[in-house]
Amino acid sequence: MTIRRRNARTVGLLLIPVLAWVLLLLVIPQLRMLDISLRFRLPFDQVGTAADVHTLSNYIEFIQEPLYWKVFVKTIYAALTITVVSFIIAFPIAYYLAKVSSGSWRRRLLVLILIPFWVNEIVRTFAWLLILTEQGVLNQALRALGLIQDPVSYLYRDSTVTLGMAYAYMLFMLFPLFAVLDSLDFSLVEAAQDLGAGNARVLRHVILPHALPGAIAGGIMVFMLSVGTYVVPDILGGKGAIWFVQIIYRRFYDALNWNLGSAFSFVLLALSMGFVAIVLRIFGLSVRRAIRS
Amino acid sequence: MVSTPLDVQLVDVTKRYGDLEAVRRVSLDVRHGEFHSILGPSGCGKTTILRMIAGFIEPTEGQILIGGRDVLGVPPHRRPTSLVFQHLALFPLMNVYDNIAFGLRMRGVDERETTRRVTEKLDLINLLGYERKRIDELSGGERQRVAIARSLIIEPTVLLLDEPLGALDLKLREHMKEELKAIQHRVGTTFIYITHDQGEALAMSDRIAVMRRGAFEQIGTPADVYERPDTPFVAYFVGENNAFAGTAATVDGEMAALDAPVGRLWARNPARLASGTRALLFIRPEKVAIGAGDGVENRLQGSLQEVYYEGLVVRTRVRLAEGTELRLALPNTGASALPQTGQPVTVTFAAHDAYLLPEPSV
Repeated sequence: MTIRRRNARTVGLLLIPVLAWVLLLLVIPQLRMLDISLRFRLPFDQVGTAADVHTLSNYIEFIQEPLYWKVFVKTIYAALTITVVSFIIAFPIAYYLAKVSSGSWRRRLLVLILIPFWVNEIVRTFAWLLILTEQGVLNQALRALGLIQDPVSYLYRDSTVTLGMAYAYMLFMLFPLFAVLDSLDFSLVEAAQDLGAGNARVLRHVILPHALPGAIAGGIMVFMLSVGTYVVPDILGGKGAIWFVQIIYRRFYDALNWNLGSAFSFVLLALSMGFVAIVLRIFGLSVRRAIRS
Repeated sequence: MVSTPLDVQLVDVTKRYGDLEAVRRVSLDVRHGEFHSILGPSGCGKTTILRMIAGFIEPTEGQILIGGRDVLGVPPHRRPTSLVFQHLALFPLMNVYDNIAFGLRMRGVDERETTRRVTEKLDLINLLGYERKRIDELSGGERQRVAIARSLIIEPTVLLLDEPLGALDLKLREHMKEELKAIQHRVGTTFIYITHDQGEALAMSDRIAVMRRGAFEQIGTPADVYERPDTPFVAYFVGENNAFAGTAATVDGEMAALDAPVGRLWARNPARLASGTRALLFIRPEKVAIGAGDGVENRLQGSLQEVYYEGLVVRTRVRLAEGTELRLALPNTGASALPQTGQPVTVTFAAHDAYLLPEPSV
């Protein structure tokens, strides 16, 4: 009895740093941001005076300005595209790693996939810049092959940003998929073949349903990261591709309007969480079924 | 005599992996409606044969005919075979109904016909009412039956079974043996059954192919391989056996004598071994009796060792005068007849119950 109580106290003590971390660095700042988002932007000397009252004006500004909506919808759409693209690219790789390769060859491939991700996200994105600029590797190669005459500008397009981000967050899709596919009993594939299923039907009826929990886990991560990123669209998109996070960034740093910026942050948080909740709802039944088995 | 059509024919099938010959020049004829086992120790190549018939592996040499048609190069999903996997491989995300219906849906059978045939198969395996159950709600025996129904629903020319009883506990295995035989009797489909358990093979099969190191040692009825083994391996592997090594002596028609360290023993000589060749004499534990035994050719003296009371039989060993041991399985005829450890005994066996086989040169 006493031992258990002492254990409980030890566990409690060990939890203090974690709780302090969450409370001081996450909960309190977030609440402060929420508070800021609910106030007018006032000159410094009026902050805290009678004029500093709570208001929904920042949120109303978001709703009333169609440009914000447009960028917001575009961001969600792009994040969805990125999620789908990263699934399409990651799935065959994950399948190959989990079900075709084996032993030391598999370990070597995993390391090869990981190495680029030891480099910082910004540096990795600049690498894309080197490939895609007008004097970049891709243009040089295409010109050397005689496929194009004049250099093409690949940068500052939405498609480039989409591709760059699909690459940046690939691992978040790859590893959950690898994990679920690794757990797939290959005799299920053979059983389906034996009962008359060709490759496409084996994929549809056996492999994809099995991989669904991994695809959803990876999808949520890629989606949330894509919605909230700043670096990749800024480097690859420049002025040409405006993402919602850049709008938030500009409220804070260019317009110095923290009130509007934090209101936009909360809108983004709430809407993207709501979106994920809806997606989960749609797949909800199958997720639960998959977890149960 | 009307010959039964052959459902499966293997003609000189060989499978090589690099230098390793997993299956070596194997030929097999499986008749329509037959329950044919392939029996052998693990690693002997029997699963390789099954997977070649199913189409998951292509033979290096030789021919495989199913229903008279050469299936070389035909992928598994186009072959008229169906495999019951060792660990069943039921689809965990589908319920019982969807598992059984899978093969029909792949063939584009309409839903009404599918329901009719799934219900028919559920009736066959006594699982009506289990349609909506998940696979993990089923017991081991129920899963077994669902796996068999799932394979039978596509009406394969031959059903291939890869040690499906291996994972079950003893009691259930005994029950499933009977159930499997009964199902085969009702549907009349040809079964090829892979096992390393000689008891299963003997109990269920019409014929057994005993396999060793990639090749068949003997193909025959259960009585053939048990009573009349062709090779010492079959004699040792199927059931229990006692062996005496020696030199074949006086050959007298069907019978021959063996000069062994224990003395001269008489036995059948099916291999027609010539006098003077090295030979092994085999005698089953249940064919040896304790006691005088009038008119029985072979008589040996020894002392009784440990006695194992097993219910159905009493097992014991007799240490013979010159040191070798003989295993006995005595019918349990009543407690008073139970032998006592350490007792000196005379053991006897008839010459027609024993047989000589050439001693392997290794």
